[in-house]
Amino acid sequence: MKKQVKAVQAFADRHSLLLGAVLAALLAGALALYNVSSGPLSNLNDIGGWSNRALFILMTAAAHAAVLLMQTALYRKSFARLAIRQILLTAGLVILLLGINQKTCLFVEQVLPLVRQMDAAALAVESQLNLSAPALTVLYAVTRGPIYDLYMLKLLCIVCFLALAVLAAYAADRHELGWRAEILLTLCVILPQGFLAAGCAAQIEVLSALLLGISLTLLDEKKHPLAAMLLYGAAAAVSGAALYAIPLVCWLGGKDRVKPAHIAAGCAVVLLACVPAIIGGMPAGRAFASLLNAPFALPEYAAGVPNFASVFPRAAMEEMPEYFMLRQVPVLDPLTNASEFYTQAHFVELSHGMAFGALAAYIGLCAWLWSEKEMSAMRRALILSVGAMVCCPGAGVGMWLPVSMLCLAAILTEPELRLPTCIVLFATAGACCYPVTGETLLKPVYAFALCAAALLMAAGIIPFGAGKEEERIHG
Amino acid sequence: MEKSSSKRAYAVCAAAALILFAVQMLYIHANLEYAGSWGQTAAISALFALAAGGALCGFVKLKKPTAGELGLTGAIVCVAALARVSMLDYVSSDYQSFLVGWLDVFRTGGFKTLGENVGDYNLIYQYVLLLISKAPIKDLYLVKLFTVLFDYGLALTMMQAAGYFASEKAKTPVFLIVTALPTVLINGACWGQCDTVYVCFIVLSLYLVKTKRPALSAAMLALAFAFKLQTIFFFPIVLLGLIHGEYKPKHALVFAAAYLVTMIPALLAGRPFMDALSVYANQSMGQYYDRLTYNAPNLYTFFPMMLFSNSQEYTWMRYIDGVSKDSANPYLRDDLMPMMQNAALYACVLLTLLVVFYWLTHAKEVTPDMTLDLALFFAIFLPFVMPKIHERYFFLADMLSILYAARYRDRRFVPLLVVGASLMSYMPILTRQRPVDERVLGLMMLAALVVVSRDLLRKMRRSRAELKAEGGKAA
Repeated sequence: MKKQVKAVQAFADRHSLLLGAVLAALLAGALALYNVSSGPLSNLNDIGGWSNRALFILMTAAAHAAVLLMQTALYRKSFARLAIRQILLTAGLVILLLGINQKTCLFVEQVLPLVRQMDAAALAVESQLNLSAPALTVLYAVTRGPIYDLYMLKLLCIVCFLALAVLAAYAADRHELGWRAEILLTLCVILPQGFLAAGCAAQIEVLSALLLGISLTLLDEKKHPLAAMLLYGAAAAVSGAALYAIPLVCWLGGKDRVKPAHIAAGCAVVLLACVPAIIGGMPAGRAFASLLNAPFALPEYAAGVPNFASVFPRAAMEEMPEYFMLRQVPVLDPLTNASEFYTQAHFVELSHGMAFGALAAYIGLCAWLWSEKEMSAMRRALILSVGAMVCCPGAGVGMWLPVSMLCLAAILTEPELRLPTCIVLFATAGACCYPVTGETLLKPVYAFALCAAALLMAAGIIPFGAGKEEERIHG
Repeated sequence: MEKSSSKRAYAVCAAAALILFAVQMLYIHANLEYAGSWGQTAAISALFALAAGGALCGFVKLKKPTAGELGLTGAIVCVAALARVSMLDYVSSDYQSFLVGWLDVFRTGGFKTLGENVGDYNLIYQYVLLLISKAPIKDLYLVKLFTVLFDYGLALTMMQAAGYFASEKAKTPVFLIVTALPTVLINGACWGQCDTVYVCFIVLSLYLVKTKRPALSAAMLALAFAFKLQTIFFFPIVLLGLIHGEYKPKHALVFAAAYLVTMIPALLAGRPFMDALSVYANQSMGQYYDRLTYNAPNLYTFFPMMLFSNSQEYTWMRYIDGVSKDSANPYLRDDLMPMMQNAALYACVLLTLLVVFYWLTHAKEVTPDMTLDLALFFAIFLPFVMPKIHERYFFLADMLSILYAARYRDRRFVPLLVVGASLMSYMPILTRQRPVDERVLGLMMLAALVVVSRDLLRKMRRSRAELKAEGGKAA
């Protein structure tokens, strides 16, 4: 009997690609059927008719199958473990789809008005969001179909998030973490940040995070540097926050593999990605300038990210974290009761200055890491990525998702990093309900303090844990 | 560094300054409201680029960096310079309420105005204001330029001090940290305050006395004192220097002479000698009677504020129509605060005397090696216990804590507490909001004080044991 089981197992492992594909089709089909009857897509409030609902369920099934096939392509060692991963991803998708009807603060107050403007003026709109021209193009393309904008956006973000989780598991496999890869995948798909940022708030930056993730994976594999740089260019085009990953790209890419031609190709992708927006009516200057929105523009209201920019209070009443409480009071006069010494102009000037200041700090951090030769790769990657996100003023919660996944991986691989990574996870999870609900119980400034403390703990500046006795003695 | 490479380094500095000049000019022209004509724009940009270029040259002269170090320093100094320029338009309430009026008086009255008491600033700053009032560039920018010059001066001085107190290796990081530290960036370029000026002279004085140049040190201390009364926070260290023989009584004459020299222009303009001498007496008798702390993160953050507008909750409650900024608390009356201020002041004097008495009775145990520790202790302790302290008065503590961290590897978290509390305490005056509860900031400063005191006492105990052992051997 044992022999027979082993033989079946060996057969399944040998044909894991084919069997994985079949299982992917089965799971996608099963979930679609479940959605038709009583699944998360059984009650779509704003879908607008049965045909639209059928189309959306079909699109979800296709996206689901694509993610499962991606997992199959990346992991073929053991069919049993592949099957577990596919089931985990399916469960993750079900969880993420539960928030499909949720109309968030970010969507209602910022994205929807922009989409309505685009209905009339296409890509010539003035966006209040920090979206780059290519990101705006993606938003425009996604919201043109017959299906409600919110659903389409959420589906895109959910698929990107699940693909990121698959990449995380793939990285765990490459570093031979064994069964911890499945644990990591489980933790990734139930990550509250993912549910809130992708499943609820539908932050389009998740697309950039995915492109960046694939690019870094390719660089880490020391294969396909051209493809890696093209994808990195696309990531930077969708969100300028990806520019803060340049040190990571340099570190993983190395001098020998990434050639100037590859870098030029990446830059070309960034510029070419603006062309559709220009054709769609956006002035060329504004389209190219928008590429630097995330690193230098004002941080978005209710972004819910624990970065340095959140230290500085916003000037407008309706942008304060306390606004959820204030809006309960009917007698409000935000104009006459506002301070004349802290207007929007003051806020803009202070924010710009501090964005440059944070960039200077990030350059210093990278230089320090460069000189630290003894540090483990995980610690280095964690410091670089948390540092980048803390310093970049315009990176949304979507860009923080890879950092959260890296934290989960660090928890599983390096016990001494558990405390700082748990702090980062707590801070990001606590802050990222802000774009969803319009209120936050962990003020962004405190979330920043936690993340900064975690960063400094990882860097060894804030002492924690037992430590070596000789290190603690003055000298 | 050889002559040719040194020349190359200066050429790099010049090139960096030129590039910075061009970038700043574009930025200023596009973004600053009072940039004026292209000529004025070029002048503003040139002044700020020269300041940054001068700092880089100073760095090359004092540090003799490697090519990599110079490249990194150049990049960070340039980005920090852009941070400064981008905040030049920020009009603070201090500038609006005081400096504008004083500058007008100087503009119309000219040199003779120095004969009168304009505002409550010290004499040297009045000379600076007179010069600024006559310049053809927006005075707001020049007020800030004056402080920015000392930002760089402070960074270079701190670098030298770090070389003495810590190691040669600590010089570059300290220079870069001070250049891009948020409190330094905000204090000068955003707020237009001049705390970097007197702290620069204090740190220089500390460095000079430790490197056996006491006369020059006394002169620098006099300059610091001529700029700000808060130099008294450093005076206990002068006493320590006298006990250790680092200063001689004759250096008191140098101090007095240097201080008198700073009065000459005012005396020439017709100001009575006693009036010129009693600037600080007028300041300390002065205007403020309504609070125990002016946003300083100290002991008095735990005492209620008389005006409701100074309370933690007013930030958001002010938007509600009908909420009065005055107190509704019948027990917090007008006469209560002066009484509390006096009581706190007397108690503080007694406490300080007690601390100084304890320290004098243990003077033998405080070795010259502990100068920095004691300086930091007093820089935190005095503003922590004194009433009527402003948030900026912890600026000296900010700087000394950085040196402390550079010296003691396991105390690198101390500046995080001190500078973090300092930075957040700037928010009420700059942004009219209190993003972090001031009691938390008070506790952060208290934690830093406890750590420094504990370290100091432990060292004194060790020193006492060594003295006893030496005494035993001699017997």
